Amino acid sequence: MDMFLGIFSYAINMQFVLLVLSGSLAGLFVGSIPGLSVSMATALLVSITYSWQTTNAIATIMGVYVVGVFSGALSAILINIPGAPSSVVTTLDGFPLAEKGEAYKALIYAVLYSFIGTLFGFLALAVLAKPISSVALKFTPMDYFLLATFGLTTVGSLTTKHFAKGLISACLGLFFSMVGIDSVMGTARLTFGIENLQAGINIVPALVGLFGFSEVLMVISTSLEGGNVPSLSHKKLKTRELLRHTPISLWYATIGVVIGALPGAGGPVAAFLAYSQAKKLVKNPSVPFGEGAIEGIVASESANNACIGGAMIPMLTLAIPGDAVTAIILSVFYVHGLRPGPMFIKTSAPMFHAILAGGFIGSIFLLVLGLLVAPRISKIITVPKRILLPLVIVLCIIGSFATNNRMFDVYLMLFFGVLGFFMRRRSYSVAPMTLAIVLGGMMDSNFRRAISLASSEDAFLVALLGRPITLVLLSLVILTLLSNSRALKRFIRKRRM
Amino acid sequence: MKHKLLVLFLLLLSISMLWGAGNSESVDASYPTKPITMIVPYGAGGTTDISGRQLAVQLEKHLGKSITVINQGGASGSIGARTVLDAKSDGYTVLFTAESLGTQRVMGLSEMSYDDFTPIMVAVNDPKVIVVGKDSAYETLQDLVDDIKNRPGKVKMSYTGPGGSGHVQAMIYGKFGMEMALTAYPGGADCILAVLGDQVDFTNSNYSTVTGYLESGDLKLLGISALDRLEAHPDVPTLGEILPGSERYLSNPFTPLSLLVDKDVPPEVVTILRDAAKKAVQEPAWKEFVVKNSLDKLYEKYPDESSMRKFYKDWESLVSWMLYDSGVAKFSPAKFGIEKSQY
Amino acid sequence: MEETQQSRSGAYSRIEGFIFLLVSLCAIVYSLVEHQRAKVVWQQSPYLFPLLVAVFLLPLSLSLLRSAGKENKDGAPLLFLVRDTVVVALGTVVYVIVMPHLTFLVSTVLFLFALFFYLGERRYLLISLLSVGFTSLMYLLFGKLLHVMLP
Repeated sequence: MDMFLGIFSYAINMQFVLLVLSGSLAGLFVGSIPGLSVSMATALLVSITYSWQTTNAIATIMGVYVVGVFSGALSAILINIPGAPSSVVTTLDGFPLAEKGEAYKALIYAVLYSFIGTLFGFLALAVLAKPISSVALKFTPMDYFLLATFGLTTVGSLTTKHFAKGLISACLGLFFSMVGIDSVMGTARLTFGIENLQAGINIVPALVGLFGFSEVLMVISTSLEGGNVPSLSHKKLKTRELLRHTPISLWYATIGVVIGALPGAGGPVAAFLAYSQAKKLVKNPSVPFGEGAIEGIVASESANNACIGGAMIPMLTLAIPGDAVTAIILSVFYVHGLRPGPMFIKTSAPMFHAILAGGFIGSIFLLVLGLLVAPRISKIITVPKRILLPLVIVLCIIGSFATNNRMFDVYLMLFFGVLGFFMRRRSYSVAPMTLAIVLGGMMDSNFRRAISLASSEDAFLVALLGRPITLVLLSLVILTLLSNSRALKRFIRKRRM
Repeated sequence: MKHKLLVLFLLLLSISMLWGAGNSESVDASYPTKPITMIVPYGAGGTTDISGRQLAVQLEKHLGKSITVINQGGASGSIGARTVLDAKSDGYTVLFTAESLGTQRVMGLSEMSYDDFTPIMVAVNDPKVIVVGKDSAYETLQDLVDDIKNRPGKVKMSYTGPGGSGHVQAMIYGKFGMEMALTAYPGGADCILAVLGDQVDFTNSNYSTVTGYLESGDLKLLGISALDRLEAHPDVPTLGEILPGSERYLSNPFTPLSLLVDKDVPPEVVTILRDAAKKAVQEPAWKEFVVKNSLDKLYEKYPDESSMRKFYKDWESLVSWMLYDSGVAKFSPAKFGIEKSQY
Repeated sequence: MEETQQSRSGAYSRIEGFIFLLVSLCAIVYSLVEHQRAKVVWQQSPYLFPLLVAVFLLPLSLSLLRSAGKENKDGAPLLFLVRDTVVVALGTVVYVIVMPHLTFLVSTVLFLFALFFYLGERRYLLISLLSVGFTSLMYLLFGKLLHVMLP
């Protein structure tokens, strides 16, 4: 009850609401431009808001965070360039749908289910923060490693018809992620003597190159003329039809919250796992997955937005940020003299309520802004390709430059663009590679940690794999690998004959 | 309509920028003219991070510009330190780090040392404490010490990486024939999580990192790695009481946190930063922070540059030789001209 | 036509499989050699994970080699405008290389104008306005507002 009143007192505070709104507008903008990330925007906000009142700073940042994560879907759907790694999955079905002239429909679904996902995530944060954080504590380094591996194998199986090609793409991505100074011993790996590579390969140039620039090349290589969408469908969407997926989206959102609460995994993994769930659970999608099924958009968007609430949980209860944005929010707290930790929710209840209020109000603005923007922005798809493509190229270049102010990142982006182009021509999906680059560092250090922890035990394998969560994850990985392997399929076929 | 929205964005953004007054337009007259970046080369939530952020808040008041704290953990703090050296030496990128700069060369982690930086302030020392999870079988420090002695190499401890302060602690234990299984984590807070999640048996943490968990009862405080007991926990023994003879290693501040800049930063900038830092530690909020976390105020002991340099030199000599003599270090400190001192 | 397409695709698959096999072997050798040099125990070694991934890549590349030529014709569109793609890719590379010398503003306006023209847009007023307008917008937005240090 106290919590409800606490949140309500912020909701009627005009200044608070307006600050959330301005944050939301900024989030809408930065989230949708590939290369401008939500974490950049929050980092910038920290320096702007350091002299403000804590609640005001939180209001603005929550607005940016909530709407920014959603708006990555806009560019994913409209131009097939995800605004951030979390939105990679949205491209799988969002863009095909847009190509069919139904960009509006795709956007509306993305808005609605992002809203439901966000709401669910914050509800979980409000009532289940403590239990979820104790679940997150149960995850050992081996579990993190297996979870990421599981994520990569599902992506491999989801995005290409040829499973081995998906896994190869993931393996190459892992190699890219290893480039640079190693996080445990501090030695440079795979840098080939190039000094600029010491800092590692940043995800932004890779993402922008693999999705953005390679997409431009793909379009040019096929044809400029055909691409124009014949006519925009502006069919009125029935509310009942729209809301039909709510029950299942809550399951995706649950996945999102739990994955979000595991530091380091975050949005992309949640979206992919939800998508693979969707493929299993939804027996008859409107059209097959990968060709513009709204069920795919529902899964991806409800899961990656639910991650927001999830990522706040370890940040508030353990002072361990779940992703880059919460790391910055954590620093806002420190700047304002607050100490997140096991006692935070009890001792700093007003701040906790401010976060929740910011989240809830932010998600309402997400809905309103999304519904306002969707019909207008969906017209982008009708801009002739010969006008759109050069602008996209320039955006790709600025975006990859902006993260570190380095020209080198632009070269990297071009490299990944050309690589991505060839990969796509030969039907290697670029999604597993992107996810592998995001997760590689975390997989590497957790794997070594797991080996190091287990090696002091007498029973090495039992210590490494003996815990229940580990066993479940391990069997999931093995099942995914086996069920997709050709050799096994052939074997089964032979047995049947 | 789309244009209207765009205009609205721009308007809002520009208003917020004016608010922030982070304008880079003005001519470079005097430092600082733009926001400063503070690199903390460990993960968020550890002692270095918490103290660095506190200091940043107080420094902002005296420098008049905002300070963005960035965590860049990994490899015992060498990755973040490298970033500071790689950045322009204009004083807009500062380093707030723990002790590992003094040990990186002998550990073979990097070529960097304190000599590559100009000290702005030797800030504080955070007392090292020994903690276990709330359900741990160890009730006292004696239990833990006995168990380590009985099962050499089997009791697991988390630490922040080779050459870090946790590692130095492990070596002190090693001097008394105690061997543990060490596993590296990216920061002090992650080491605590490993204890909470039952992945390791105990850790040597810093007091300020664990206060919240002690309060909530998730962790048990077994011992203090310093000469004196802590005021807040008068009944918790020091390591010296349990391991007689270890006192002579404990007189050294093990986690001296310092504010540094690249050694090529112009002297005017260094002076401005130093003055601001001196004023910053007089702020009531900072003083309260120091008392609450039982921090040792090193800036009172080492007020000027020559004493700071001497402090680093002595520290480096002591710990480097200690690492080398116990066979942990890769290279001999003599290779880098570090003299051997008595310890 | 379709048959040549298919056999060509098989040949490509073989080349790719061979490349990946090579990558995997090189990475295995690299990690083993570097690990020897680094003188650390395996559980701490930075080369443990590369080794793991390389070993995993090995059977994958073999399976690619085995299935080469047998796969169904994949979805990649047949029409392939080599010239346009190469021109745009090279044009972008040139643009990126000259950018630090010409400043962002000048090079971007030129690049946009040239590319619009090359891709077949002939409404000169439109493309001049677009290239100047878009560039200045980007410059204001990123350079001034977000403090990106554009060249």
